[in-house]
Amino acid sequence: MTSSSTASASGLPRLFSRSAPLPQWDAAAAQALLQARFGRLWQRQDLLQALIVIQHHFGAITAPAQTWLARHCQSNTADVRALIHFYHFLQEERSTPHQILFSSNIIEEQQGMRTLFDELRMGTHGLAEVGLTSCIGLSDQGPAALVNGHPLTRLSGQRIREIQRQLQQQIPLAQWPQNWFRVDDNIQTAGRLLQFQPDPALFLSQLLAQAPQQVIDRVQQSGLRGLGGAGFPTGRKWQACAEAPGADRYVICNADEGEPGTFKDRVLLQHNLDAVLCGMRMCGHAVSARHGILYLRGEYLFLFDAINTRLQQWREQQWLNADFNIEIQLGAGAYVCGEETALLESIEGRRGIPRIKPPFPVRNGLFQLPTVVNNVETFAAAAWLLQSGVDAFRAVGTEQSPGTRLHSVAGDCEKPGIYELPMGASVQDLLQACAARNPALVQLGGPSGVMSSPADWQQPLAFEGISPGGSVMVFDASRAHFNIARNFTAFFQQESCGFCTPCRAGTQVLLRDMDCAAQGQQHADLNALATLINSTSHCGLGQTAGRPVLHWLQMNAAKKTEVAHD
Amino acid sequence: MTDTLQFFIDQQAVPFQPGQTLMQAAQAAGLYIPHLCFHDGLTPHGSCRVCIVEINGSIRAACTTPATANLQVHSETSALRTQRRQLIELLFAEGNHLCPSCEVSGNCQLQALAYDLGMTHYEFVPLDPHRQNDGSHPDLFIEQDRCIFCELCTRSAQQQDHKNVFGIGGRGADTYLFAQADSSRLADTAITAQDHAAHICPVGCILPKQGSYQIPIGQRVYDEQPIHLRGNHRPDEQDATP
Repeated sequence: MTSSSTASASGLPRLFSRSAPLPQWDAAAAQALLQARFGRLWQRQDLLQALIVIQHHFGAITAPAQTWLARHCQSNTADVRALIHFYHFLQEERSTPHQILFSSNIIEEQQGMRTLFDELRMGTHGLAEVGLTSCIGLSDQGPAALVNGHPLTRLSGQRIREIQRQLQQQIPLAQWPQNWFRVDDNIQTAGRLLQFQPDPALFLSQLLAQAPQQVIDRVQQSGLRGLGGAGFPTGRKWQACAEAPGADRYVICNADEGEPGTFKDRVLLQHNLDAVLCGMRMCGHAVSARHGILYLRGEYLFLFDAINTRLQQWREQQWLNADFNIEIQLGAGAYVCGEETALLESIEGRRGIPRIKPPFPVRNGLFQLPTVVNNVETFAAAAWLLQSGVDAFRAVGTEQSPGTRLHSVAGDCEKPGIYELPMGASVQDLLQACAARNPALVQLGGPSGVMSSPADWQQPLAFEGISPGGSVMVFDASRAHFNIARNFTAFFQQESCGFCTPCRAGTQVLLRDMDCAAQGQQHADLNALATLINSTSHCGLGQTAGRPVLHWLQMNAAKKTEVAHD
Repeated sequence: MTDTLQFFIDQQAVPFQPGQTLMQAAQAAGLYIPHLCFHDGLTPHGSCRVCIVEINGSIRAACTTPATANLQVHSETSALRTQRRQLIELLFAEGNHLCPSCEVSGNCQLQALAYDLGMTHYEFVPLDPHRQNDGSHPDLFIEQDRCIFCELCTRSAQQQDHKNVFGIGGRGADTYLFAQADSSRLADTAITAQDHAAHICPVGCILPKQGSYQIPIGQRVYDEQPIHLRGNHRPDEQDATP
């Protein structure tokens, strides 16, 4: 075995280190790795997690691996391939030991990612697979890329040439300079949540003594709303789950932070992990769940070992025990899995296709059992309010949106990073704080959110104002709106799960016909098509996939009207 | 009291049983809502989106929306007809749906809906897929480029034939239908020409190898009667023997 099985300080094997992929399929080595991953017999529902381990350690899931996996879970290899083909980070073949995927978010594109991408691809012919992937959550320190799943930050022409030398000299990834992989927190404004470092022993001894209904009541009274984007009242969700009939229940932390431009959950997981775990633990207590799962996006694979080690320490301290335990499951490159029911499908080992709602997860969730799915920031905020009290929680923010909000800011500004502001702060407040350079457009909430212009910037970032989606991308006057809209539309086209007609077929036609329109060629009615996608799609991804085009068309029309009136 | 439960589609009262979807209740009442992926007796799917209806200003799929008492549902509005047509046009653009050279022309539910909804031409330039066809089975052929991913075959095999025959793999533009076998060949699954799943494809994707042209084009199901009167029926569906 390689250094991949090197034990960490906690005695746990490090499953996702920067070791080189094993040169060829080895069933015995795979068996040992999966034993280390699961610590138990695994079955069909664990297949995705097994594929992720195999992918990482062998660089691909080749035909003999597929057969071995299929036999283990009484399936067939076509079924295994169907899953591989859904997740962007899983592949059947790998031609080189190294695979480098550049983050293709608009921010990185505007930072010159394409030039770096082309340079690396041409300079490393046959030495590395070079490709693109959707935003990897590092827009504040981009251009960034993943090499064998590990992030390379602050890429420059100089760094690309250095990487080429490493590849040419066949230097193993584990020996590449450590600072190339440095991921900064970039916390610019730390409010009470980012400063919250609970002592789990103290926290749990005080709060687990409260009756479950009392916990739910306090979360309800606090007015906390889901900070993943939709803003559903958290206490109501917990109450509904607690009341739903079921022999068992689940608490799931949605750490599939896939909205391009967002990276605040990454910072919380690195910086305030205990707060997140305390929130999950209390939710488990409140709804009488025994199982917690933290679903970590594949792009944050580099956090897996640290989180896993911390979970092990929690178990050793009995903060996690037979009453409630938490395990991590990984994603593998699929934005749609951030949709809560697609996430459930993914945890159950299938392609991430959003389910029909109703029934909602609080009644029929993971394995059909009542399930709470909340975002990372929501659990951290729940822990804060349970420790500090409802009045303290409501003392900040607005009546309808109490508390604070973490904003991931990137783009044309002097100080990209994390800003924790009271709910209700304006876009203008944020632009001043980050020292925006000549801002003309600000995308709020990622591609599925809204494109705002100066007229909107006095509005509050709150559920009653402009929905505070977590991602804030600043664009100066030199940025062409078409290029932004095209990048976002391409993102939706690539991330569509393919289930429903408007999103699967519609985004393909929309992207192609945008290009036709830009080149003055014959094209479909983009307004009608984007509206169709938004209004008829099956899930939230499709229902927002037409927005970038509509915003672009609306602002174009407004500009023309302005010109006409001048 | 359950016998008095009703909702309204375009002002017309539709009785329903608790647990029924809008589509199931409408079908039972003899009201046609255009659809492709719905089939009575199979679990609802909601993927084709052709059965969109309007409820309180928002658009829902009738096949996945539970019926509730006194709900006001709009179905045959000109806006919804236009959007249904656009969805059909997207399916035409996405696959190899050249009716004049297709062996199911006249029996095809996609084509029939296109006629019903007033599609006269290709609104969208075709995307022109090139997927691997499967002719391995002695009695059935899969023309992959015509798959509309309705999963009627997948569900029918599981729920009616109790076999694991089909699946959907990949993602987005690269979504594909596959046969559940190591070889991915239909011949290596347990499907037979008598299975329900062999007689449920609403388009020309899963084709019988025998008898395609016994009834000439021009005298087929939807040549005789439009789909809103005939319903979504294949002429050979009774050939399935459980």
